[in-house]
Amino acid sequence: MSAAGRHLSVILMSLAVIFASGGATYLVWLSLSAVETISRDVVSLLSWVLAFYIGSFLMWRGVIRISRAT
Amino acid sequence: MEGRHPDLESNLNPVIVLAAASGTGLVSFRMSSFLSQRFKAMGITGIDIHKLNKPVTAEMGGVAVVVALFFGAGVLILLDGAADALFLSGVATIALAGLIGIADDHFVLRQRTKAVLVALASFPLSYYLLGGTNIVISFPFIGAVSFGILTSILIVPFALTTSANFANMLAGFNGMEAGIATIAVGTLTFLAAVRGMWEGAALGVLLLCAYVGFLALNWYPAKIFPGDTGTLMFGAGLVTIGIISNLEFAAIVLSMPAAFDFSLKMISRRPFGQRKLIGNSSVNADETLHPADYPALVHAFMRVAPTTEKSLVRWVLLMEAVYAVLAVALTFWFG
Repeated sequence: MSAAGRHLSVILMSLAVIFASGGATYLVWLSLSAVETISRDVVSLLSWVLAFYIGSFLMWRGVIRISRAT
Repeated sequence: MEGRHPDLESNLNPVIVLAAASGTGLVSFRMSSFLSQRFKAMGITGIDIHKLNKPVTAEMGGVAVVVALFFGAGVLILLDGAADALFLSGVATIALAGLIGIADDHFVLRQRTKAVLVALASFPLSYYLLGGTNIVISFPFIGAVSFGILTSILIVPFALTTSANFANMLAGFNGMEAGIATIAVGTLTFLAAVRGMWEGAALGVLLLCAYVGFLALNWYPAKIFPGDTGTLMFGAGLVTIGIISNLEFAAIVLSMPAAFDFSLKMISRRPFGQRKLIGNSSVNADETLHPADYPALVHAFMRVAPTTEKSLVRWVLLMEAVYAVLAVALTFWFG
């Protein structure tokens, strides 16, 4: 992979994290349909924070893997 | 769709707004040029550690952005009667964040103190919103989420200090901070104008021109650094324009590159002590950058392939531009 391709992969990984964490949050929000609004919103927000943090961790693992492959 | 306060719409004259914006850009450029020499003579400087010859460069250039914003807002108020309370509270909030940045550049405030002070800087905007304006953030698929009374007393201060400190962390390279500010504020200004949110659009175009004027002197090789004055103001400006233009979700999307930087830094064992403990990134003999040994967004770009400072800044700005396109697409798609 070219240097530009490897740099681009950082941006693409970040987009993957954003969409995955957004999708996970939506699933949590859907699964809490019976819960009152405020609790549902707060739990959904916390689930996004957690998913984003885990996603960032996985993204950094991806960065290390790419850097070792070069 | 109506803005948070419709009065300004009828008052604004597009010719005067354009004149104020042009004047803001010019004042920012001239002021940055003046301060780059004046601050250097006064010893208000920093070392450009990502250059081989380690030049001494003027710091605290965000002062030029503060002055230019005051100038532009003053022109709008005097010539166009833009004395709208929401517009003024927005200007006051951004300017207060800038003044805290000046204090931080001068006295080097503790991280905790800075976070509290920036949260307090939201007082003008929070006070205005206490008057009954409720913030409703529309999320794709989920829909509108209302925060009620918590908006003024909790959400606005928290959002302001988070955004300002995010902006303050993704920094340290020629043209990066001002470039990100230009793309992000430019995108919000465009969205605010397209949706008829004139208070936010007017404030946004002034801030945009102020950062463009400053960027001319801050671009590689920089003659002046923004300092915390420039970064805190940008973070505060993004949230302020987002809130007064009903574009909170777009502002969140535009903050994502900085949020990634923050989240990556949180992975390490000493999230706020890495720079003291491990040190900064450095420059190799071939002018490529060597990342410090802790997770950060800029270090991710440096690790995957050799990159110079100029190239790094272009990649980070491309990332911000990608998120700007995403913010525009999601705003139009989900309304």
